[in-house]
Amino acid sequence: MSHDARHPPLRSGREPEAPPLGPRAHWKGPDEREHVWDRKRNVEGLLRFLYAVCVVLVALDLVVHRHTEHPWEHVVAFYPLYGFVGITILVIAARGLRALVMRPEDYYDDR
Amino acid sequence: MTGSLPPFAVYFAGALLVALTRGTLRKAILLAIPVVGALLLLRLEPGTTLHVELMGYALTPLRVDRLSLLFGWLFQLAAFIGNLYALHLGKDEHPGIQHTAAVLYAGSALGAVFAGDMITLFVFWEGLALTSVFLIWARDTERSLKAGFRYLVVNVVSGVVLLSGALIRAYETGSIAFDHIGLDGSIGAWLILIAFGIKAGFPLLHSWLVDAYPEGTPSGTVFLSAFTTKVAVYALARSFAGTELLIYVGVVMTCFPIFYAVIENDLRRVLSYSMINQIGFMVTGIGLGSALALNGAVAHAFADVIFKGLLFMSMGAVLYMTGRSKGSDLGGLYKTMPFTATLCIVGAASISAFPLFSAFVTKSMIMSAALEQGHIWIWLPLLFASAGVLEHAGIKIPYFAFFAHDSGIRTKEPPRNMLVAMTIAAALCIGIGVFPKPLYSLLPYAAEYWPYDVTHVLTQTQILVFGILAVVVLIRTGIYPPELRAVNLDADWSYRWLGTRLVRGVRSVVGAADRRVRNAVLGTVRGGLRALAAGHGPQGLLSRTWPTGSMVLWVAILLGVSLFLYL
Repeated sequence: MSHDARHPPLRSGREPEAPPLGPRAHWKGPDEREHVWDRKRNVEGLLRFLYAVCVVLVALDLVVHRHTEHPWEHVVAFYPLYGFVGITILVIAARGLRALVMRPEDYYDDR
Repeated sequence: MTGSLPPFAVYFAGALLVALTRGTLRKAILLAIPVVGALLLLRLEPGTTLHVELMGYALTPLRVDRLSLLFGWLFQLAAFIGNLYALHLGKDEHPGIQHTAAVLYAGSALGAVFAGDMITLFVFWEGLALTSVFLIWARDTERSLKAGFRYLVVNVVSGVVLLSGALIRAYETGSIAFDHIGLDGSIGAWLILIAFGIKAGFPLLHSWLVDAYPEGTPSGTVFLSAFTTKVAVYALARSFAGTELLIYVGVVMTCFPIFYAVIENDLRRVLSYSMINQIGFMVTGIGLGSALALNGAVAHAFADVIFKGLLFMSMGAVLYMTGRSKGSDLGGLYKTMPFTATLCIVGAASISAFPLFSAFVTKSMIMSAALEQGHIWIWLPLLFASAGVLEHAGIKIPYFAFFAHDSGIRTKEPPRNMLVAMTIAAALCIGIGVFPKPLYSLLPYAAEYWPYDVTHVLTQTQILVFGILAVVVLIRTGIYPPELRAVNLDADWSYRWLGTRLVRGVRSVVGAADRRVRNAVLGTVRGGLRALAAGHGPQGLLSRTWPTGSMVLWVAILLGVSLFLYL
């Protein structure tokens, strides 16, 4: 597998390896047909659909009168912002957590 | 009604039959047990109790009310789906042990939720640990053997703490009833709370769960995910409803595991962290303690067993078919397992609480209760944790297993029984989401709630869709952390790394001191021996051998002297 430049391979006694393939699986053959998400056009189409849904959802926020229990909920696009910012913070913080807690896969083995 | 049969009896008797039979007959019995159990449950009316006198204690092995009945139904359902999912087990997978252990495990869970006193609860509490550990050991790897032992120790300790607390309370109050306890400052109540907390995965007491569950067999982990922690949630709802401390404990439980889930590679371990997150919502609801919050907590437990079971089943199917369960080793499986991928996405949508899926109609009760009671600072982190669920369970699980980078692994759909079990679970996820009324009518407390209004549907859809957008942006910009083969340190570090080193350190210090003391003592003893040897040794004055002739000479001299003196 290719390592991200920001995450160099972990130092370990032995190079981590994927476990062998189980008896019910095999590797892909040489002349396999193209699947639906192999086509870049389909992936791009799906993403464009997602962006469109996002636009519609924010537009609805301006049209629909939401009943709210707390003043903050009343801020336009409060929920979309909370979802987007929340997940961004979560992922970036988790990257930081990696620096703190990540160890080689055999950390607990034979020690 | 007297003469009612406690639901666990069906399972314990059934387990005996499962152990004694083979082949088709065993499969039929495995599917029949939950059906018979459910039929018996239909006959149990709220208010039914069964008392037994044992060793001077009045035990209550059966206490039926709306709360225990809800979990009773849930566990019959979970046992049926789990048994169906495990039906195919082959000769090399210890089918006898796994099937028998699973049925005994489900029976213990039923025994615990219908227990009316602490002693009965303790017996089934330990039963949960002793039976379920075989579902981990049956994986038959060195890793699972060790993880199983750690799991067993922690869970048995939980039972010992429970019994200690119960005995202290019995001494203080004279009652062994398993009812509302609450934190009244008594050490007994605290011990009972800690015992429940260990099995519920409270922060810092949680790591047995993320350590052991991913090491279970593909089907064993499905059972594990259904019973132990939900029995703990039931026990907390029964004994500690409205305990304010639980609000904060629950919020911590919803928030800290999601960071681990983002960076964890083993997808079944991601789901284990996700379990703690979901239980966190339930614990918060129990702490809030209003009728709506408590209904939300137990309804969410009901929905969670099904959608989390579905997710564990889909990852179990991937593990069973490919021999792998790590995000870094998988990808592109939608090409050969499209049906499994679809079912997994249903589970992912359910746990993420998309409208029309199950968590939407259950988790929202807890969220609404938090706002209603004015806990804005509880509600905000809960909302953050809800978005986090979408990231790790809603997107990460299906994405890295079935899509993402094509690993080149080709396989086929899992055995039919697995597919049918997953389909039933998926249908229930959607069924509960679309028609929440039947589940609501089973809830134990009186509270009016209806999840489908424009505001709730819109806001929930907004937060989820923009969460997806954030993940897309983070992946496309390369900020999203890649799946790496690694372990992430957690609370179990304290006993797996620090503990072993402490023991080793103590052993080396004590060993050295012991050696020194022994050497000193040996030195003294040797000195004494040497002194003794100087006198009594082979060369010593007192042990020298003298020639017989000299003895005769001396005797002759003595005789001569005495003769001379007489004369």
